[in-house]
Amino acid sequence: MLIVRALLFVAVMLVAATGMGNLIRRDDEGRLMAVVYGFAIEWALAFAVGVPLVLLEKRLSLLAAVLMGLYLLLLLAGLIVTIMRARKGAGKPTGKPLSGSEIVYLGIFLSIVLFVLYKTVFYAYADGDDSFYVATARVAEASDRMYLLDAYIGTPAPIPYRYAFAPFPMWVSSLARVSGIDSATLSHSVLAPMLIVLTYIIFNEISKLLFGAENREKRYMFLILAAVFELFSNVSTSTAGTFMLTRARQGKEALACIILPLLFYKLFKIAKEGGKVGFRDFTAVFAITGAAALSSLLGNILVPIMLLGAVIWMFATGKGLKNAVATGLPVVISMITVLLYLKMR
Amino acid sequence: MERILDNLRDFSGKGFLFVLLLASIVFLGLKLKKGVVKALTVWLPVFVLAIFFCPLWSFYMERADDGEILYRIMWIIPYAVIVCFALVEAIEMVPRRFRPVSLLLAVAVIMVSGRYIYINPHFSKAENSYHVPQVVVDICDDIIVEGREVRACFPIEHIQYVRQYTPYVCLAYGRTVLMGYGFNEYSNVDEFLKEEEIDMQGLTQALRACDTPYLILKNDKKITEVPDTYGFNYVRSYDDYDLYLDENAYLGLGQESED
Repeated sequence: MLIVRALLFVAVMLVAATGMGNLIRRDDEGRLMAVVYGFAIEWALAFAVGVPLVLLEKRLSLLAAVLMGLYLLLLLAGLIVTIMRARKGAGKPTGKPLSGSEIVYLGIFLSIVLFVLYKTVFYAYADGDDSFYVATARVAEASDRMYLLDAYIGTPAPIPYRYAFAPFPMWVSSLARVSGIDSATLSHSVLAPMLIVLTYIIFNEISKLLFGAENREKRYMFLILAAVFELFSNVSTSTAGTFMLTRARQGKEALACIILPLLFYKLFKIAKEGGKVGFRDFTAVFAITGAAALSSLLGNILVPIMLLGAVIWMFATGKGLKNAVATGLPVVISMITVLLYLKMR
Repeated sequence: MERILDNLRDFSGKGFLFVLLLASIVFLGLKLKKGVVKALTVWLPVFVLAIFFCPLWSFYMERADDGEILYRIMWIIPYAVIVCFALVEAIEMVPRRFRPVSLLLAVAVIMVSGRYIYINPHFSKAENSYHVPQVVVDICDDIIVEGREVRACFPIEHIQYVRQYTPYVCLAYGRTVLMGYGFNEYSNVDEFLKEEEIDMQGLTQALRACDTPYLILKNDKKITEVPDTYGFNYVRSYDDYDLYLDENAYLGLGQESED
């Protein structure tokens, strides 16, 4: 029964994320990127709705209801956009059939991914931080209260502002409440493999920018090496690769392995297009900045550093004030969050 | 600067992957022509490294509680992307027929430079979908009383799991006691549990002081007397762990109706 429910959850999440993500996915981006953008939108909305509700000590069920309503609305809008695009014939695959070597390389890469997913679901990693993040989600799911009980021992506690401003566990908790899958199972066995796949999707899209979409042999070699690199990145507990394969359920992992690589990809894409920031690019950067804020308070520092780098590059290469402002504007989210946190803590 | 270098050492481990990153940046810097790809794979990492090595961080690290997380700035550098891009570019320089062998060589370079994640001793076969030891699940299932919370004192090795599985079991002490800088405001039971031989009289008094009727002990743990001596009666064993219940405990309607 749990397996059926989990598979249903994955299917619904993929459809919802794809629908929402299509709102900001450009026609020249891979279709799978819609899933990644969809998650970014979900996280940005969870941040925008979650933080005020947490600070106002509202119930989790209210957050879940508002979020699901917003997700549904955006999903419907996304579906309309998807249908309109399909009618125009945008995004139709135009590639040639795979060659023998490409099939081999792609097969090796996908085998590594499957191996990683197997390890993620069927092997447990004892990470002490789960006793806060997963337990916080589990407590909220059961008590319908957000951050009002100490996750470690269960006594009433004041709101921990450091975490309340980055309520990634409340997003998990909302999904748990709606799906009926408890937060622990959802975190460790269902969301973890999904989040890992998002990283590989981003790597695939980055490979298109590095080598060109048509240069599949090089791209698949790159993907094999990147997958092996992550497998062997356990030189410390702090590397992004270690986070990806041991903590794919925590906001910090989402920040290090999905949100920052996604922003890198997006800025790369914008730069390749000559620094022109279209509406969809602007919306995507906004969503990514919001997602970073949900994942970790540190996201409000790391994302602005990247955006600062992009803005400096734009000024240095004469890409125009409009594009620089459009790229830098989402930093407002980070600034407001940090200022509020400093005031309230 | 010493603090920053220590932080980098903690992040980079033996440092071979970091050396590989630096080598990749230099290689790409020499090979690529001026352009977007070079800006993103060469100048972005240099920009981030310049921020990371900014001496002002030393002052921050000296004063802030969370100074040790400076390494997270390095997350901005897409390590895997840059290193693997450089490796593929290097593979491209060899004749086509040698490319599969070159790819294997590149894989070997990564394997030698890094450390395989699944040999990490913190990995174990998952015993259930919660990724919580089954013994914790079994104990929690047996002590939960419907309609209320119960408080229990679990051994230190299990405290991180209990409330992931169920928030209806509260703890006498939590993970803060393991965090180095943390302490347990709620009770002092952890002080007794940390001793090589547990002072059972002191522990049971501390448990009653924090309304904790359940005690779980590993059965090979040295104790001054059996808990039953002080009214914590043996209930049953779960693998290597024994469950005790305070004879004075009031466990609520759930248990009464069962009786």
